[in-house]
Amino acid sequence: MEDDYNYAVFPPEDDVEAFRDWPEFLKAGARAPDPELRYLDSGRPVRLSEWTRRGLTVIEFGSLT
Amino acid sequence: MACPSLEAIAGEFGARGVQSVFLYVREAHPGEILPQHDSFERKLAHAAEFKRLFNVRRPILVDDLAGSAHRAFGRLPNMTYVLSSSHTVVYRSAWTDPPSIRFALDYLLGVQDRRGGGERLAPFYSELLGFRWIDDPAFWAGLERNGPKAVAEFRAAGERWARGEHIGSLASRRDSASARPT
Repeated sequence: MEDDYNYAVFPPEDDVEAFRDWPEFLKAGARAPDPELRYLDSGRPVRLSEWTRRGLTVIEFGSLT
Repeated sequence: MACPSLEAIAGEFGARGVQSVFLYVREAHPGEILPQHDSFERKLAHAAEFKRLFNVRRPILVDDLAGSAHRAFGRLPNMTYVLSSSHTVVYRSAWTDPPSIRFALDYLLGVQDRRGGGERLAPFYSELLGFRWIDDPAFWAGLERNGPKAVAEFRAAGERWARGEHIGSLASRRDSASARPT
């Protein structure tokens, strides 16, 4: 699964599905997932809820490329 | 690729109590120089280079190698969500678009102020067709930074989209290009 997710060749196999499904996926008003992440700087584990419990939080998803 | 101009919004709205983070996910256009992540260490290294190259001051949170967070939010390459203090989605956009993020934050902060002033407000569902900036020179320069493979693959994908293939991304791009704001 990890190999499929971190694709080597653009576009990824799941691209069509992702763009097709997203408009009906996790819409405004829904409770958001709370995955465990890691701080780049410290390596410390963190959940998004550690941020959101303090107020409005903007989350940009992306990468270097 | 990410949107460095969100740094300005993070600073401006941070003074008004809004927090901003960057969630680092899989590489969108891997190339010979910046390949796909084959280890979490490589993912961290790319995230660190992203921070350095774009002078990112927002905290960078890194997803796991399997993309658990990315998948949970819909796995688009450069989407943005705004979550409330109850961890509820109050804004989302398929592409990161500073003007509509600014609009949403002004509106949401206004809701807080109105409630603070005693107004009774009930939530309702709303949508907006966004119009994102298309900066082709910067985009192609970014692909070149990734490596020749990234350039060739995107060029080939563009030819497929022109033939009507790969309709998921095409629909998003074509609709944005042909729609009019008024």
